[in-house]
Amino acid sequence: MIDTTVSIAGITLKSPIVTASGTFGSGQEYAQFNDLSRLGAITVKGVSHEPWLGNPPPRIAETHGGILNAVGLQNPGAKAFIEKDLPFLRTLDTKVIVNLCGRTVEDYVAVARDFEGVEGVHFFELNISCPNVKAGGMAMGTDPKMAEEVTRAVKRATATPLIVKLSPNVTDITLIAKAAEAGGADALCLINTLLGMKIDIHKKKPILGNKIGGLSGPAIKPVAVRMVYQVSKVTTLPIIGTGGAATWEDAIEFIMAGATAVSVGTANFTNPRVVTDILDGLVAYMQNQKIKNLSQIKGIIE
Amino acid sequence: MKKMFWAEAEIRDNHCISPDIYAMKIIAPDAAKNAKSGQFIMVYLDKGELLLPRPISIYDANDDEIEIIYQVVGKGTKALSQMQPQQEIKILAPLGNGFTIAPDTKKAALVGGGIGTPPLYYLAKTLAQAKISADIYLGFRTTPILAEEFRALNNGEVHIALENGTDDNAHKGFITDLIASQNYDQIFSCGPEPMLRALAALTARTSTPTQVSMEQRMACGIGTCVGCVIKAGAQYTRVCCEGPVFDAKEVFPQ
Repeated sequence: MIDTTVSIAGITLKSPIVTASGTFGSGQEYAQFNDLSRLGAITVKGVSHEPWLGNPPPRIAETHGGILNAVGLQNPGAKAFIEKDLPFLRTLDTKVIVNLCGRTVEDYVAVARDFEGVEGVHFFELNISCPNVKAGGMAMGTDPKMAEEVTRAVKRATATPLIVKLSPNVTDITLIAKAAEAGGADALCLINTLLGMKIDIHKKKPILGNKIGGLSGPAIKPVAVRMVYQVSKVTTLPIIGTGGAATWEDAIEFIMAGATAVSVGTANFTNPRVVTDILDGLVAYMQNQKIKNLSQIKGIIE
Repeated sequence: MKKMFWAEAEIRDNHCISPDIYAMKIIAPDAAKNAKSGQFIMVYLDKGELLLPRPISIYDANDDEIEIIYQVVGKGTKALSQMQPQQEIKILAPLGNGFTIAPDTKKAALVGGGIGTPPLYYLAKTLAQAKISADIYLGFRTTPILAEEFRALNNGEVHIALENGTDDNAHKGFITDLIASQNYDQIFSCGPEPMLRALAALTARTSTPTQVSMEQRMACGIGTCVGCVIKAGAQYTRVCCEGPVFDAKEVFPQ
């Protein structure tokens, strides 16, 4: 018998495959193509205390093996999310990770408090790494002091286990990882998108309305694997590895680098059934390799 | 939630109908039965470094088949143009809201510009079947497409305008020059944004209800990524879900 379960902050996930924030809506759209109850967790699109307008279009640009986005976390706010999206998520037999965004420490605390007494949320994911938000956002995730401060403040405000999502746009990601750990994070998720840009040479201007955006997709996977590997060596916190994972082989790679779970993002756009395909491949691999539990291969790279 | 179908479908036909413009027939019975004019499909390329599916409007839908007409504009559509009959193609369809024909519409005008013309064909066919007469206005830079197909519906006048053409039967200039919007109960349009904007200004003066089909760079196609927005009033709204068809007043306030 193989066992695909993994544990994060004392909570058992049925499988290590998780969806990444901003690529899976609130799950409902993808329920038509996938048995969502097989997923370890669904990370919902970023939620803020007040509604956010988002960035001017165009917000999407395709690049070689990747996509740039500058959505800017457009969302209708926590109240609307709780009323409209959470009821569907509660019907699913999987865990729910709510991605929290803000511009100030107070914003993050406010949105965490919006969920006080609300059922059906298993984890918060603190988004201190979005490159498309001018104040706050990535600024918090690139300064160890601020990362620690905001983590501690949200941790104080809520009993819900807290995952901190890290930005790759730093010189040494292990410093930010350690800061989040010091602030009381229960787990880490890495990496968010890498800052990028694409220029339309015929129009002589950037494609994105925001000029620059975040790069995701297979193009960034080696960077993500490297960072998961480095962070896993300096922390005992569980890591959700993410960044370009599109196949079961990618998932195994992240786990061997030190990830407990793997979050799938951009690949959902390329293939709406990708999470099912990855899970099937992962189970077949475990059977073939006679791996009973993923802890046998987790972080095996010295 | 609206019904959409993920299909690994067979290509029945894929051929060039005009320079850089191709028509592809895809066998997809579930999607075809549920398709409405003005909706679109996502075509998945399986092409390594090109990750995103391409949104392409529905030209026609029959019992078991969806037909799309697309222009080769980059690597993705180039790859699509090279696909052969009997090859498999992954699609997600039908997507978006589509055109809405008002119950009291007796006479409609359809206004197409360039590669925005194809989605109006399925609408023209639907109107003909419903016995609602429809005049067709099509504008192109130099070379018309699909004029014969629209004429064959025999359900109203077909007008052509060419910006730089030499056809004696075509108006030389913009298609919007020809439209007397007060003559119509409803106007439907798809084409380049400047044309839609000009049309919206024109039809606002006669208070003629007008629907426009909009375009935007898209990623998921089903509402999850919030990438494909356009400005509608003070908000950004998703082309893939709230559109691609919008009330002209909403996106081009006068």
